[in-house]
Amino acid sequence: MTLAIVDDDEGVRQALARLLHSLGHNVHVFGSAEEFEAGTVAVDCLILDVRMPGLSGPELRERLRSRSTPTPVVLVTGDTDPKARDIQPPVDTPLVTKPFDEVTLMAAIHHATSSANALRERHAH
Amino acid sequence: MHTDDRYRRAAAAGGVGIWEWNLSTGEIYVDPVLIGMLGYQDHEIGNHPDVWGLLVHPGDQAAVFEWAQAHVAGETPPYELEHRMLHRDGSIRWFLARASVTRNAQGNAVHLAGTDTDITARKRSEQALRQAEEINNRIVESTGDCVKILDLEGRLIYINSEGLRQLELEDASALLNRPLVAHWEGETRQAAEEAVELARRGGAGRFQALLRTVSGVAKWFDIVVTPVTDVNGTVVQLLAVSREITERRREEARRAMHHQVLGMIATGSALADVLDCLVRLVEQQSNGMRCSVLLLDEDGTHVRHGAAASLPDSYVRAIDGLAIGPRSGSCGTAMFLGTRIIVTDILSDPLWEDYRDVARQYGLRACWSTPIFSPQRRVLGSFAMYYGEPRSPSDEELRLIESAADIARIAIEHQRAHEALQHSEARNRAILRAIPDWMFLQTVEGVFLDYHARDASRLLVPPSAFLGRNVREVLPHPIGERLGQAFVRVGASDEPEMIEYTLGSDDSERFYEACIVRCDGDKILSIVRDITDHKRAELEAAAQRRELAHLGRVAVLGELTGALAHELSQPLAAVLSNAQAARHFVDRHPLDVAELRAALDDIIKDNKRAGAVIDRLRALLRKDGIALQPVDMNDVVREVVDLAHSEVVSRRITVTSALTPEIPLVLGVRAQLQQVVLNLVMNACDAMGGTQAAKRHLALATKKEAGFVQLVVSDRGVGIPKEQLEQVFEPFVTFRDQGLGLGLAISRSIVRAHRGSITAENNIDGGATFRCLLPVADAGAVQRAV
Repeated sequence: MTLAIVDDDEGVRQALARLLHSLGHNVHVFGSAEEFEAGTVAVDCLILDVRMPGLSGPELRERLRSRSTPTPVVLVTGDTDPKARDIQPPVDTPLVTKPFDEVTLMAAIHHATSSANALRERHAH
Repeated sequence: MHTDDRYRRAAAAGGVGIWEWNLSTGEIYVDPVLIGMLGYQDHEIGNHPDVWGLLVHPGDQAAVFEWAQAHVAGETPPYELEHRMLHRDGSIRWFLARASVTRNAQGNAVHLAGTDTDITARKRSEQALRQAEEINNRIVESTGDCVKILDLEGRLIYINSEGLRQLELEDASALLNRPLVAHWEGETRQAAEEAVELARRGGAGRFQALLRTVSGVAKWFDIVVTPVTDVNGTVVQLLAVSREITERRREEARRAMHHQVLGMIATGSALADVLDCLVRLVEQQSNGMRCSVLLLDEDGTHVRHGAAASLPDSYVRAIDGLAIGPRSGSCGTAMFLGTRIIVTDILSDPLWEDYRDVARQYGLRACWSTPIFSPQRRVLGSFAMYYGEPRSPSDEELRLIESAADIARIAIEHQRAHEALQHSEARNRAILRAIPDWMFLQTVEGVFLDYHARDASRLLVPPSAFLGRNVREVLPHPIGERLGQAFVRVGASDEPEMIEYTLGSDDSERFYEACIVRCDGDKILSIVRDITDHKRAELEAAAQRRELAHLGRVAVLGELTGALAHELSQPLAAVLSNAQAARHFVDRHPLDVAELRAALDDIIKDNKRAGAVIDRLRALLRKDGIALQPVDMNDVVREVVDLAHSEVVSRRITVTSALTPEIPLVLGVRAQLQQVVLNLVMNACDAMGGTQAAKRHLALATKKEAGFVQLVVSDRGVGIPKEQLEQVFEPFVTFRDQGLGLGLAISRSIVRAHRGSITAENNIDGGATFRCLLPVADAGAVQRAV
């Protein structure tokens, strides 16, 4: 898969890229939502940090959903209780809390891409 | 010769000349005696037909001729005529002519014969008398005194025009035949009667009396009565000369009044007596006048009776305790408005509306009142004059009322000062009894002379063991010496000194504070206070403050929990990802050592990052003592910005820091200063909750200022409500939804403990700015602390 990571924390960004890369994926990294939008990369799944300066993860996700072909998204967050932070986790978008295991992450990525595929097939009918 | 010779000789001897006019012939015979009386010889005149032209004064010739003819014609009886004749030397002589006519049987006049008597001497003296009288009259009429002539019964028979003027009379008719003494009654009348009696007996009497003019003006007169005698020395009339002495009397009366009242004040008479005397003295100066003094109560709104010698008691009682106001009679209004109030007719004046019936009941019609002021223009009371008829005051009465008010002021002030002094003495005695302080009187050398102690048994050393001994012997070494030296300094400079010292040891240790002042010129007074409890409370308070500060930090961290978790989760997430990636690398062949190393390096780096977060937390949560160390405020700001990073990001706030490089160090407790910055940052974040996301901007800055480091924390939030600007640092004052409102209060107490200050202000373009000034540590302190 071709994956993109959008996280303002460089350490997290690099470590995640390294992990996904070691699992055989093609990985693009971006320091902010704006940076991602500026690039024109087609990806199978987007790993989005929730809390970022500028455009936040959920905001970017909303923008992508409004497009004709929405990109599957996995949200990651360092917050313990995301509800308290006014971030309503979208039902159809997996949210992974840092620090996370690779299994958890990969499960979330698969969930995101498969539900996106299912949605696409329904549209095709 | 028709005339008898003997008669003629006799006549000549008496200065009488004879003449004869023959009416049938027209001849006139003038006897030589008469001719001689006019300085001529007989032959020079003879029977000269123009004898009249020579002898009778030209001015009288016609009169003499007409007189003679009228007599001849029988129109006038034989009578006399005084006329002038000319002496040969040119002088004029006066003669008295007498004539009689002789008629024939038919009744026709044939002869006119007469005598001329030289009356020149009499005439001259008469003239002189007339002139003298004229002069006297003019003197009497032009004098400034009132001149009266009385008959022996003392009834007026003459008064000069000045007298009428003074009494404002058109003419004397109302006075004529009226006894002078009838103007007065009582003592004055008695004095007048005595004076008249004295004059009647040939002496001179004198008295002073008050007279009222037609228009009612009272005037004082000094009256001298003297006898008028005839040639025989018999008293025939009395002369009374009155001089108006009103002004002098008033001046004397005023002076006497001042003298008497001030004398009473000086000798410590009671205020009521002084004012009563004053009122009586003023009343004496005008008939029918009644006076009162009212005092303004200490509450400034009610009147109290002062003095009213001649007003009815029930009226005085009715007035006592009334409230002053803008329509409270003359006195209440005068005190309320602080200005003189003249009511000329109580029955029609609106100021008296509420008190009209009371006044009417006691026959009071006019009331003029002036406020009595203290020198500081505080109203002390009022002085009033009452009259039984409608009336407005004369200038003199206005002067009198002001003068009386002034004396009343002195009396009241004196009384108040006296009372204040008595109170303050009593108070001083009470204070001395009440104060727990010990007082010691010493010589400059340190020898105890006297002491005051409410409870002497609590003194560390009994009086018998220190009186007469030196402080250096009485108190243990360093303290006795320190106090002894302070006595010498205070004795020389007269500058009071405060010295703190402790006595006793361990559990029984007590703290004292001595205020040392010079007194009685060369003595030293030490006022010693046991401040042990105070000291202990102070130490406890400091401990409590530290505890509170710690709790504050814990509370702030509580608010930050989420952000801190986030801050820790980042490096942990990175570590885990890197570790799992590393495991994949290890499983892979060939082994990419470089990749593996990079992963491991990052694991170490992120692990340290997590450790740093924990260190910062620990530093904040540590229960510090009060150990001071040099602190770089730039570092403090950086650490706090790091700590709050996640919080700030999650709240969409942009943070900028403008830190002045090489900022001087301040001496302080690092954790506490961090707490101040963190509190200010969190406060700013909270304030911007409602701000548009794009505008959420937090600016931090450090600046150098003469002797201080300034920390500026500025936000774009709601600002501070104007009415809370003053109290924003008070505990439990908060304008945020969350939080106890302790953050800023703790910040201020920390800053103050660092001898600094903190202020808040609203920005012109929105939001608030907090400025915190911390004194720069001096080089020595930095050295010692390091």
